[in-house]
Amino acid sequence: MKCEKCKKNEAKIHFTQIKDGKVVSYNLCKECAEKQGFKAVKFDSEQQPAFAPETKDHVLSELIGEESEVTGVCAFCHNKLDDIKHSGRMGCAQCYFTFEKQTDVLLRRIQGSSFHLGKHSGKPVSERYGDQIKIRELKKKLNESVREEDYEKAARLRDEIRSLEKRMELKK
Amino acid sequence: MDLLKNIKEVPAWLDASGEHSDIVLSSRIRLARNIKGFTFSTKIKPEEEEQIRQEVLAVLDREKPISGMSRIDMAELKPFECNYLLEKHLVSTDLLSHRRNGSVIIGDKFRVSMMINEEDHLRIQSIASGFDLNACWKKAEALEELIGKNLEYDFHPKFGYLTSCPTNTGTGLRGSVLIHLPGLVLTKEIQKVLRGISQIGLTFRGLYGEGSEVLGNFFQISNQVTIGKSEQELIDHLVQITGQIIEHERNARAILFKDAGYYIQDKVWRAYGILEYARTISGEEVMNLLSAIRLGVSMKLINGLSVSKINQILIFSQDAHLDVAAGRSLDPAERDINRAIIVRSYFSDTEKKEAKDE
Repeated sequence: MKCEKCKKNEAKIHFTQIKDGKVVSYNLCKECAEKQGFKAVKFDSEQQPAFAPETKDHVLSELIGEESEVTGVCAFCHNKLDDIKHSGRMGCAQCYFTFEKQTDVLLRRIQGSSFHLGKHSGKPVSERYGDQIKIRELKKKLNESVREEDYEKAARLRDEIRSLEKRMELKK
Repeated sequence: MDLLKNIKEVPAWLDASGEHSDIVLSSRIRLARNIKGFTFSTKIKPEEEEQIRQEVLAVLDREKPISGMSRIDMAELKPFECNYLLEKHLVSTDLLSHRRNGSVIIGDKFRVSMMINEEDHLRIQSIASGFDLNACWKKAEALEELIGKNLEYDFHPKFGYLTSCPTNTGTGLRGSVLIHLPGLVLTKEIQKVLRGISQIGLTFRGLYGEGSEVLGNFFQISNQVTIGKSEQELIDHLVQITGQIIEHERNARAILFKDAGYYIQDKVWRAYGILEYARTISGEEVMNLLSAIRLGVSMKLINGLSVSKINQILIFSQDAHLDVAAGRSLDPAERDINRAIIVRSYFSDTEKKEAKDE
Protein backbone atom coordinates (compact mmCIF):
# COMPACT_ATOMS: atom_id res chain seq x y z
CA MET A 1 0.00 0.00 0.00
CA LYS A 2 1.12 3.56 -0.59
CA CYS A 3 2.10 5.96 2.15
CA GLU A 4 -0.84 7.99 3.41
CA LYS A 5 1.17 11.17 3.59
CA CYS A 6 3.24 11.47 0.45
CA LYS A 7 1.20 8.95 -1.53
CA LYS A 8 4.38 8.10 -3.44
CA ASN A 9 6.46 5.58 -1.51
CA GLU A 10 5.47 2.17 -0.24
CA ALA A 11 4.10 2.27 3.31
CA LYS A 12 6.41 0.14 5.37
CA ILE A 13 5.57 1.49 8.81
CA HIS A 14 2.19 0.73 10.30
CA PHE A 15 1.44 2.43 13.58
CA THR A 16 -1.53 2.17 15.82
CA GLN A 17 -1.91 4.81 18.51
CA ILE A 18 -4.48 5.41 21.16
CA LYS A 19 -5.02 9.16 21.18
CA ASP A 20 -7.65 10.89 23.29
CA GLY A 21 -9.48 7.64 23.74
CA LYS A 22 -9.58 6.99 20.00
CA VAL A 23 -7.62 4.39 18.09
CA VAL A 24 -5.70 6.00 15.28
CA SER A 25 -3.63 4.11 12.76
CA TYR A 26 -1.03 5.36 10.33
CA ASN A 27 0.41 3.70 7.26
CA LEU A 28 3.52 5.62 6.34
CA CYS A 29 6.72 5.21 4.37
CA LYS A 30 10.05 5.41 6.16
CA GLU A 31 10.71 9.06 5.29
CA CYS A 32 7.30 10.38 6.33
CA ALA A 33 7.37 8.29 9.50
CA GLU A 34 10.69 9.80 10.47
CA LYS A 35 9.36 13.28 9.74
CA GLN A 36 6.46 12.59 12.09
CA GLY A 37 8.95 11.56 14.71
CA PHE A 38 8.45 7.80 14.53
CA LYS A 39 11.58 5.73 14.42
CA ALA A 40 11.25 2.26 12.94
CA VAL A 41 12.25 0.02 15.81
CA LYS A 42 11.56 -3.35 14.27
CA PHE A 43 11.85 -4.36 10.69
CA ASP A 44 10.34 -7.38 9.08
CA SER A 45 13.06 -9.94 9.46
CA GLU A 46 11.19 -12.22 7.13
CA GLN A 47 11.48 -9.88 4.21
CA GLN A 48 15.13 -9.04 4.20
CA PRO A 49 18.41 -10.00 5.77
CA ALA A 50 18.79 -8.17 9.06
CA PHE A 51 21.43 -5.69 8.08
CA ALA A 52 20.25 -4.46 4.72
CA PRO A 53 21.90 -1.20 3.68
CA GLU A 54 18.60 0.54 4.46
CA THR A 55 18.85 -0.37 8.14
CA LYS A 56 22.55 0.35 8.37
CA ASP A 57 21.94 3.66 6.69
CA HIS A 58 19.40 4.48 9.35
CA VAL A 59 21.75 3.52 12.17
CA LEU A 60 24.70 5.26 10.55
CA SER A 61 22.81 8.51 10.01
CA GLU A 62 21.63 8.44 13.60
CA LEU A 63 25.16 8.07 14.85
CA ILE A 64 26.81 10.41 12.41
CA GLY A 65 24.13 13.06 12.58
CA GLU A 66 24.99 13.68 16.18
CA GLU A 67 28.64 14.38 15.52
CA SER A 68 28.55 17.16 13.01
CA GLU A 69 32.09 18.33 13.74
CA VAL A 70 33.52 15.08 12.41
CA THR A 71 35.12 15.93 9.13
CA GLY A 72 38.07 13.73 8.46
CA VAL A 73 38.88 12.17 5.14
CA CYS A 74 40.43 8.76 4.75
CA ALA A 75 44.04 9.21 3.76
CA PHE A 76 44.09 6.21 1.48
CA CYS A 77 40.82 6.27 -0.45
CA HIS A 78 39.65 9.83 0.27
CA ASN A 79 36.33 8.57 1.59
CA LYS A 80 34.30 10.90 3.78
CA LEU A 81 31.96 9.79 6.53
CA ASP A 82 29.09 10.87 4.28
CA ASP A 83 30.17 8.41 1.57
CA ILE A 84 30.14 5.60 4.07
CA LYS A 85 26.75 6.66 5.32
CA HIS A 86 25.23 6.67 1.83
CA SER A 87 26.69 3.45 0.57
CA GLY A 88 26.71 1.51 3.84
CA ARG A 89 30.22 0.40 2.86
CA MET A 90 33.75 1.21 3.83
CA GLY A 91 36.08 2.49 1.11
CA CYS A 92 39.21 0.73 2.26
CA ALA A 93 40.96 -0.72 5.33
CA GLN A 94 42.24 2.70 6.31
CA CYS A 95 38.65 3.92 6.74
CA TYR A 96 38.32 1.62 9.72
CA PHE A 97 41.28 3.39 11.32
CA THR A 98 40.31 6.91 10.26
CA PHE A 99 36.74 6.56 11.52
CA GLU A 100 37.56 4.16 14.32
CA LYS A 101 35.29 5.72 16.91
CA GLN A 102 32.21 5.72 14.68
CA THR A 103 32.96 2.20 13.47
CA ASP A 104 33.20 1.04 17.05
CA VAL A 105 29.75 2.42 17.84
CA LEU A 106 28.30 1.09 14.59
CA LEU A 107 29.60 -2.43 15.12
CA ARG A 108 28.36 -2.56 18.66
CA ARG A 109 24.95 -1.45 17.44
CA ILE A 110 24.51 -3.77 14.49
CA GLN A 111 26.51 -6.77 15.67
CA GLY A 112 26.43 -6.44 19.43
CA SER A 113 30.20 -6.34 19.64
CA SER A 114 33.15 -4.54 18.07
CA PHE A 115 35.77 -6.87 19.40
CA HIS A 116 37.19 -9.62 17.19
CA LEU A 117 37.76 -12.78 19.21
CA GLY A 118 38.48 -15.08 16.32
CA LYS A 119 41.72 -16.19 14.81
CA HIS A 120 44.40 -14.17 13.21
CA SER A 121 46.71 -16.23 11.09
CA GLY A 122 50.26 -15.29 11.87
CA LYS A 123 49.76 -14.39 15.51
CA PRO A 124 48.22 -16.53 18.24
CA VAL A 125 44.77 -15.37 19.30
CA SER A 126 45.59 -15.13 23.00
CA GLU A 127 48.31 -12.56 22.40
CA ARG A 128 45.98 -10.19 20.62
CA TYR A 129 43.10 -11.02 22.94
CA GLY A 130 45.17 -10.38 26.06
CA ASP A 131 46.07 -6.81 25.13
CA GLN A 132 42.53 -5.88 24.16
CA ILE A 133 41.14 -7.27 27.39
CA LYS A 134 43.71 -5.30 29.37
CA ILE A 135 42.84 -2.09 27.58
CA ARG A 136 39.16 -2.64 28.21
CA GLU A 137 39.75 -3.15 31.92
CA LEU A 138 41.94 -0.06 32.13
CA LYS A 139 39.31 2.02 30.36
CA LYS A 140 36.71 0.87 32.85
CA LYS A 141 38.99 1.87 35.72
CA LEU A 142 39.66 5.21 34.05
CA ASN A 143 35.95 6.03 33.88
CA GLU A 144 35.60 5.04 37.52
CA SER A 145 38.41 7.29 38.63
CA VAL A 146 36.99 10.20 36.65
CA ARG A 147 33.66 9.67 38.38
CA GLU A 148 35.40 9.54 41.74
CA GLU A 149 37.28 12.68 40.69
CA ASP A 150 40.65 11.01 41.23
CA TYR A 151 42.21 12.77 38.29
CA GLU A 152 45.77 11.76 39.10
CA LYS A 153 44.85 8.11 38.85
CA ALA A 154 42.88 8.79 35.69
CA ALA A 155 45.88 10.41 34.06
CA ARG A 156 48.10 7.44 34.96
CA LEU A 157 45.56 5.01 33.54
CA ARG A 158 45.24 7.07 30.40
CA ASP A 159 49.00 6.92 29.84
CA GLU A 160 49.02 3.19 30.45
CA ILE A 161 46.26 2.71 27.90
CA ARG A 162 48.10 4.85 25.38
CA SER A 163 51.32 2.90 25.67
CA LEU A 164 49.46 -0.42 25.38
CA GLU A 165 47.67 0.78 22.28
CA LYS A 166 50.95 1.91 20.78
CA ARG A 167 52.47 -1.46 21.55
CA MET A 168 49.56 -3.14 19.77
CA GLU A 169 50.03 -0.92 16.74
CA LEU A 170 53.63 -2.06 16.48
CA LYS A 171 52.77 -5.70 16.98
CA LYS A 172 50.48 -5.71 13.95
CA MET B 1 35.13 -22.08 -20.14
CA ASP B 2 35.59 -25.81 -20.69
CA LEU B 3 33.79 -26.06 -17.38
CA LEU B 4 30.54 -25.25 -19.08
CA LYS B 5 30.96 -28.07 -21.57
CA ASN B 6 30.86 -30.56 -18.70
CA ILE B 7 27.38 -29.56 -17.71
CA LYS B 8 26.44 -33.14 -16.93
CA GLU B 9 29.06 -33.16 -14.19
CA VAL B 10 27.33 -33.45 -10.86
CA PRO B 11 28.66 -31.33 -8.02
CA ALA B 12 29.91 -33.60 -5.26
CA TRP B 13 27.90 -31.75 -2.67
CA LEU B 14 24.65 -32.90 -4.29
CA ASP B 15 25.38 -36.57 -3.69
CA ALA B 16 23.43 -36.61 -0.42
CA SER B 17 26.21 -38.52 1.28
CA GLY B 18 26.30 -36.43 4.43
CA GLU B 19 24.38 -36.81 7.64
CA HIS B 20 20.70 -35.80 7.73
CA SER B 21 20.90 -35.25 3.99
CA ASP B 22 17.20 -35.94 3.60
CA ILE B 23 16.54 -32.70 5.46
CA VAL B 24 19.73 -30.69 5.02
CA LEU B 25 20.67 -30.40 1.36
CA SER B 26 24.10 -28.84 1.90
CA SER B 27 26.29 -26.90 4.29
CA ARG B 28 28.46 -23.97 3.34
CA ILE B 29 31.19 -21.85 4.90
CA ARG B 30 32.22 -18.57 3.33
CA LEU B 31 35.16 -16.41 4.38
CA ALA B 32 35.57 -12.82 3.24
CA ARG B 33 39.00 -11.25 3.00
CA ASN B 34 40.56 -8.15 1.47
CA ILE B 35 44.14 -7.79 0.32
CA LYS B 36 46.28 -5.12 1.95
CA GLY B 37 47.19 -2.14 -0.17
CA PHE B 38 44.04 -1.96 -2.30
CA THR B 39 40.78 -0.07 -1.93
CA PHE B 40 37.59 -1.99 -1.31
CA SER B 41 35.07 -2.89 -3.99
CA THR B 42 33.06 0.36 -3.92
CA LYS B 43 36.06 2.47 -4.84
CA ILE B 44 38.38 0.04 -6.53
CA LYS B 45 39.79 0.74 -9.99
CA PRO B 46 39.92 -1.90 -12.76
CA GLU B 47 43.75 -1.92 -12.74
CA GLU B 48 43.69 -2.75 -9.03
CA GLU B 49 41.18 -5.55 -9.60
CA GLU B 50 43.37 -6.98 -12.33
CA GLN B 51 46.38 -6.84 -10.05
CA ILE B 52 44.54 -8.62 -7.26
CA ARG B 53 43.42 -11.31 -9.67
CA GLN B 54 46.97 -11.83 -10.92
CA GLU B 55 48.40 -12.03 -7.43
CA VAL B 56 45.82 -14.52 -6.19
CA LEU B 57 46.14 -16.69 -9.29
CA ALA B 58 49.92 -16.66 -8.93
CA VAL B 59 49.60 -18.07 -5.41
CA LEU B 60 47.13 -20.74 -6.53
CA ASP B 61 49.27 -21.77 -9.50
CA ARG B 62 52.34 -22.01 -7.32
CA GLU B 63 50.83 -23.82 -4.33
CA LYS B 64 48.08 -25.76 -6.11
CA PRO B 65 45.86 -26.16 -3.04
CA ILE B 66 42.70 -26.92 -5.01
CA SER B 67 42.29 -30.16 -6.95
CA GLY B 68 40.86 -29.99 -10.44
CA MET B 69 40.99 -26.22 -10.45
CA SER B 70 39.26 -24.16 -13.14
CA ARG B 71 39.12 -20.44 -13.55
CA ILE B 72 36.23 -18.45 -15.00
CA ASP B 73 36.28 -14.73 -15.70
CA MET B 74 32.88 -13.07 -15.52
CA ALA B 75 33.62 -10.74 -18.41
CA GLU B 76 33.76 -13.66 -20.83
CA LEU B 77 30.40 -15.17 -19.94
CA LYS B 78 27.04 -14.68 -21.55
CA PRO B 79 24.18 -13.77 -19.16
CA PHE B 80 22.70 -17.27 -19.14
CA GLU B 81 26.13 -18.75 -18.46
CA CYS B 82 26.43 -16.40 -15.46
CA ASN B 83 23.07 -17.59 -14.15
CA TYR B 84 24.24 -21.16 -14.64
CA LEU B 85 27.04 -20.57 -12.13
CA LEU B 86 24.55 -18.99 -9.78
CA GLU B 87 22.29 -22.05 -9.98
CA LYS B 88 25.23 -24.26 -9.11
CA HIS B 89 25.78 -22.13 -5.99
CA LEU B 90 29.26 -21.21 -7.17
CA VAL B 91 28.81 -17.46 -7.38
CA SER B 92 26.64 -14.81 -5.82
CA THR B 93 24.26 -12.37 -7.49
CA ASP B 94 26.68 -9.60 -6.49
CA LEU B 95 29.45 -11.08 -8.60
CA LEU B 96 27.17 -11.30 -11.59
CA SER B 97 25.54 -7.91 -11.44
CA HIS B 98 28.38 -5.63 -10.46
CA ARG B 99 31.71 -7.20 -11.12
CA ARG B 100 32.75 -7.26 -14.73
CA ASN B 101 36.25 -7.77 -13.41
CA GLY B 102 35.25 -10.62 -11.18
CA SER B 103 36.44 -14.18 -11.46
CA VAL B 104 35.63 -17.42 -9.80
CA ILE B 105 38.01 -20.28 -9.12
CA ILE B 106 36.30 -23.65 -8.88
CA GLY B 107 37.68 -26.96 -7.81
CA ASP B 108 37.43 -30.12 -5.76
CA LYS B 109 34.37 -31.28 -7.74
CA PHE B 110 32.56 -27.98 -7.19
CA ARG B 111 33.03 -28.18 -3.44
CA VAL B 112 35.37 -25.21 -3.35
CA SER B 113 34.76 -21.94 -5.08
CA MET B 114 36.62 -18.73 -4.59
CA MET B 115 35.25 -15.46 -5.90
CA ILE B 116 37.74 -12.74 -6.73
CA ASN B 117 36.65 -9.10 -6.87
CA GLU B 118 33.14 -9.53 -5.54
CA GLU B 119 31.97 -7.38 -2.62
CA ASP B 120 35.31 -8.21 -1.05
CA HIS B 121 38.55 -8.99 -2.85
CA LEU B 122 38.40 -12.61 -1.87
CA ARG B 123 35.44 -14.80 -0.94
CA ILE B 124 36.45 -18.34 -0.15
CA GLN B 125 33.62 -20.83 -0.14
CA SER B 126 33.48 -24.50 0.76
CA ILE B 127 30.33 -26.60 0.30
CA ALA B 128 29.60 -30.07 1.64
CA SER B 129 26.73 -32.49 1.18
CA GLY B 130 24.29 -32.82 4.05
CA PHE B 131 24.90 -31.41 7.47
CA ASP B 132 28.66 -30.98 7.91
CA LEU B 133 29.71 -27.43 8.63
CA ASN B 134 32.93 -28.43 10.32
CA ALA B 135 34.22 -30.20 7.22
CA CYS B 136 33.53 -27.03 5.23
CA TRP B 137 35.29 -24.92 7.83
CA LYS B 138 38.40 -27.09 7.76
CA LYS B 139 38.68 -26.72 3.99
CA ALA B 140 37.92 -23.00 3.93
CA GLU B 141 40.31 -22.31 6.78
CA ALA B 142 43.13 -24.25 5.15
CA LEU B 143 42.71 -22.33 1.92
CA GLU B 144 42.47 -19.00 3.71
CA GLU B 145 45.64 -19.71 5.68
CA LEU B 146 47.57 -20.78 2.63
CA ILE B 147 46.72 -17.62 0.74
CA GLY B 148 47.29 -15.57 3.88
CA LYS B 149 50.85 -16.83 4.09
CA ASN B 150 51.51 -15.41 0.64
CA LEU B 151 49.36 -12.29 0.57
CA GLU B 152 48.65 -9.99 3.48
CA TYR B 153 45.02 -9.53 4.49
CA ASP B 154 43.53 -6.27 5.77
CA PHE B 155 43.29 -6.66 9.53
CA HIS B 156 42.54 -4.34 12.48
CA PRO B 157 43.69 -5.26 16.01
CA LYS B 158 40.27 -4.65 17.44
CA PHE B 159 37.84 -5.13 14.56
CA GLY B 160 39.55 -8.16 13.07
CA TYR B 161 39.45 -8.91 9.35
CA LEU B 162 38.25 -5.85 7.49
CA THR B 163 35.49 -6.15 4.95
CA SER B 164 33.74 -3.79 2.58
CA CYS B 165 30.52 -4.10 4.53
CA PRO B 166 30.67 -3.77 8.34
CA THR B 167 28.22 -6.66 8.65
CA ASN B 168 31.06 -9.04 7.73
CA THR B 169 33.88 -7.54 9.77
CA GLY B 170 35.70 -9.63 12.36
CA THR B 171 35.80 -13.21 11.27
CA GLY B 172 34.39 -12.53 7.81
CA LEU B 173 32.64 -15.84 8.27
CA ARG B 174 29.20 -16.72 6.98
CA GLY B 175 28.10 -20.26 7.67
CA SER B 176 24.86 -21.54 6.21
CA VAL B 177 22.79 -24.65 5.70
CA LEU B 178 20.25 -25.34 2.98
CA ILE B 179 17.40 -27.07 4.71
CA HIS B 180 14.11 -28.60 3.61
CA LEU B 181 11.24 -28.06 6.05
CA PRO B 182 7.95 -29.24 4.53
CA GLY B 183 6.87 -30.79 7.83
CA LEU B 184 7.07 -27.52 9.71
CA VAL B 185 5.39 -25.69 6.85
CA LEU B 186 2.50 -28.16 6.65
CA THR B 187 1.98 -28.23 10.42
CA LYS B 188 2.09 -24.42 10.33
CA GLU B 189 4.89 -24.23 12.87
CA ILE B 190 7.37 -22.66 10.48
CA GLN B 191 6.61 -19.05 11.38
CA LYS B 192 7.33 -19.74 15.03
CA VAL B 193 10.60 -21.46 14.23
CA LEU B 194 11.80 -18.74 11.85
CA ARG B 195 10.87 -15.99 14.28
CA GLY B 196 12.77 -17.85 16.96
CA ILE B 197 15.97 -18.13 15.00
CA SER B 198 15.98 -14.46 13.99
CA GLN B 199 16.12 -13.62 17.66
CA ILE B 200 19.29 -15.56 18.37
CA GLY B 201 21.72 -14.22 15.83
CA LEU B 202 20.65 -16.30 12.84
CA THR B 203 18.90 -15.33 9.64
CA PHE B 204 17.05 -17.22 6.92
CA ARG B 205 16.47 -16.75 3.20
CA GLY B 206 15.01 -18.55 0.23
CA LEU B 207 16.87 -21.24 -1.65
CA TYR B 208 19.05 -18.99 -3.75
CA GLY B 209 20.56 -16.66 -1.20
CA GLU B 210 20.04 -12.93 -0.89
CA GLY B 211 16.85 -11.42 -2.20
CA SER B 212 14.99 -14.54 -3.27
CA GLU B 213 11.59 -15.82 -2.20
CA VAL B 214 11.14 -19.11 -0.43
CA LEU B 215 10.36 -21.84 -2.93
CA GLY B 216 9.63 -25.49 -2.37
CA ASN B 217 9.93 -25.30 1.43
CA PHE B 218 13.68 -24.81 1.14
CA PHE B 219 15.38 -22.37 3.49
CA GLN B 220 18.91 -21.14 3.90
CA ILE B 221 19.82 -20.54 7.54
CA SER B 222 22.98 -18.62 8.32
CA ASN B 223 24.69 -16.69 11.08
CA GLN B 224 24.11 -12.96 11.25
CA VAL B 225 26.90 -12.03 13.61
CA THR B 226 30.52 -12.17 12.45
CA ILE B 227 32.35 -10.43 15.28
CA GLY B 228 32.62 -10.93 19.03
CA LYS B 229 32.81 -14.70 18.88
CA SER B 230 35.44 -17.07 17.62
CA GLU B 231 34.89 -18.87 14.33
CA GLN B 232 34.33 -22.17 16.09
CA GLU B 233 31.78 -20.60 18.44
CA LEU B 234 29.84 -19.16 15.52
CA ILE B 235 29.84 -22.51 13.76
CA ASP B 236 28.94 -24.44 16.90
CA HIS B 237 25.99 -22.12 17.46
CA LEU B 238 24.71 -22.67 13.94
CA VAL B 239 25.23 -26.43 14.27
CA GLN B 240 23.35 -26.51 17.55
CA ILE B 241 20.35 -24.54 16.31
CA THR B 242 20.20 -26.42 13.02
CA GLY B 243 20.23 -29.65 15.00
CA GLN B 244 17.20 -28.47 16.94
CA ILE B 245 15.40 -27.45 13.77
CA ILE B 246 16.11 -30.87 12.25
CA GLU B 247 14.56 -32.50 15.31
CA HIS B 248 11.50 -30.24 15.10
CA GLU B 249 11.16 -31.13 11.43
CA ARG B 250 11.39 -34.86 12.10
CA ASN B 251 8.76 -34.56 14.81
CA ALA B 252 6.49 -32.60 12.49
CA ARG B 253 6.89 -35.26 9.80
CA ALA B 254 6.08 -38.02 12.29
CA ILE B 255 2.91 -36.20 13.32
CA LEU B 256 1.92 -35.70 9.70
CA PHE B 257 2.46 -39.35 8.92
CA LYS B 258 0.40 -40.42 11.89
CA ASP B 259 -2.47 -37.94 11.65
CA ALA B 260 -2.60 -37.16 7.95
CA GLY B 261 -1.01 -40.19 6.35
CA TYR B 262 -3.33 -40.40 3.33
CA TYR B 263 -3.21 -36.68 2.69
CA ILE B 264 0.59 -36.82 2.61
CA GLN B 265 0.67 -39.91 0.45
CA ASP B 266 -1.71 -38.29 -1.97
CA LYS B 267 0.43 -35.16 -2.18
CA VAL B 268 3.55 -37.21 -2.75
CA TRP B 269 2.14 -39.51 -5.41
CA ARG B 270 0.36 -36.75 -7.31
CA ALA B 271 3.70 -34.96 -7.48
CA TYR B 272 5.35 -38.15 -8.69
CA GLY B 273 2.72 -38.56 -11.37
CA ILE B 274 3.04 -35.04 -12.71
CA LEU B 275 6.81 -35.08 -12.74
CA GLU B 276 6.88 -38.41 -14.50
CA TYR B 277 4.40 -37.52 -17.23
CA ALA B 278 4.16 -33.76 -17.73
CA ARG B 279 5.05 -32.44 -21.16
CA THR B 280 5.66 -28.86 -20.10
CA ILE B 281 6.40 -27.62 -16.60
CA SER B 282 7.60 -24.42 -14.92
CA GLY B 283 10.61 -24.12 -12.63
CA GLU B 284 8.41 -23.10 -9.76
CA GLU B 285 6.15 -26.12 -10.14
CA VAL B 286 9.15 -28.45 -10.27
CA MET B 287 10.49 -26.95 -7.04
CA ASN B 288 7.19 -27.40 -5.24
CA LEU B 289 6.61 -30.92 -6.55
CA LEU B 290 10.17 -31.94 -5.72
CA SER B 291 9.50 -30.79 -2.19
CA ALA B 292 6.71 -33.34 -1.93
CA ILE B 293 8.88 -36.04 -3.56
CA ARG B 294 11.71 -35.34 -1.16
CA LEU B 295 9.32 -35.70 1.74
CA GLY B 296 8.03 -38.92 0.24
CA VAL B 297 11.50 -40.41 -0.05
CA SER B 298 12.43 -39.34 3.45
CA MET B 299 9.28 -40.91 4.86
CA LYS B 300 9.98 -44.07 2.86
CA LEU B 301 6.82 -43.77 0.81
CA ILE B 302 8.74 -43.90 -2.45
CA ASN B 303 11.40 -46.46 -3.16
CA GLY B 304 13.83 -46.49 -6.00
CA LEU B 305 14.37 -42.74 -6.10
CA SER B 306 17.36 -41.50 -4.14
CA VAL B 307 17.77 -38.15 -2.46
CA SER B 308 20.86 -37.64 -4.54
CA LYS B 309 18.80 -37.95 -7.72
CA ILE B 310 16.26 -35.47 -6.40
CA ASN B 311 19.08 -33.04 -5.68
CA GLN B 312 20.27 -33.40 -9.24
CA ILE B 313 16.84 -32.76 -10.72
CA LEU B 314 16.60 -29.70 -8.51
CA ILE B 315 19.71 -28.17 -10.02
CA PHE B 316 19.56 -29.42 -13.59
CA SER B 317 15.94 -28.37 -14.12
CA GLN B 318 16.79 -24.74 -13.40
CA ASP B 319 16.48 -22.14 -16.16
CA ALA B 320 20.11 -21.46 -16.96
CA HIS B 321 21.07 -25.13 -16.82
CA LEU B 322 18.51 -25.75 -19.55
CA ASP B 323 19.90 -22.85 -21.57
CA VAL B 324 23.45 -24.16 -21.28
CA ALA B 325 22.31 -27.66 -22.24
CA ALA B 326 20.68 -26.21 -25.35
CA GLY B 327 23.66 -23.97 -26.04
CA ARG B 328 21.60 -20.80 -26.18
CA SER B 329 19.17 -18.65 -24.23
CA LEU B 330 15.75 -20.28 -24.59
CA ASP B 331 12.42 -18.54 -24.48
CA PRO B 332 10.21 -19.48 -21.49
CA ALA B 333 7.91 -21.80 -23.47
CA GLU B 334 10.82 -23.81 -24.94
CA ARG B 335 12.42 -23.95 -21.56
CA ASP B 336 9.35 -25.39 -19.89
CA ILE B 337 9.22 -28.13 -22.52
CA ASN B 338 12.91 -28.95 -22.14
CA ARG B 339 12.50 -28.95 -18.41
CA ALA B 340 9.74 -31.53 -18.61
CA ILE B 341 11.95 -33.68 -20.83
CA ILE B 342 14.88 -33.55 -18.39
CA VAL B 343 12.65 -34.30 -15.42
CA ARG B 344 11.00 -37.26 -17.18
CA SER B 345 14.41 -38.68 -18.03
CA TYR B 346 15.28 -38.88 -14.36
CA PHE B 347 12.02 -40.66 -13.58
CA SER B 348 12.05 -43.14 -16.40
CA ASP B 349 15.08 -44.96 -15.10
CA THR B 350 13.75 -45.45 -11.59
CA GLU B 351 11.96 -48.68 -10.77
CA LYS B 352 8.27 -48.19 -10.34
CA LYS B 353 7.20 -49.51 -7.03
CA GLU B 354 3.60 -48.29 -6.63
CA ALA B 355 2.10 -51.73 -7.20
CA LYS B 356 4.19 -53.21 -4.40
CA ASP B 357 3.24 -50.34 -2.08
CA GLU B 358 -0.25 -51.72 -1.41
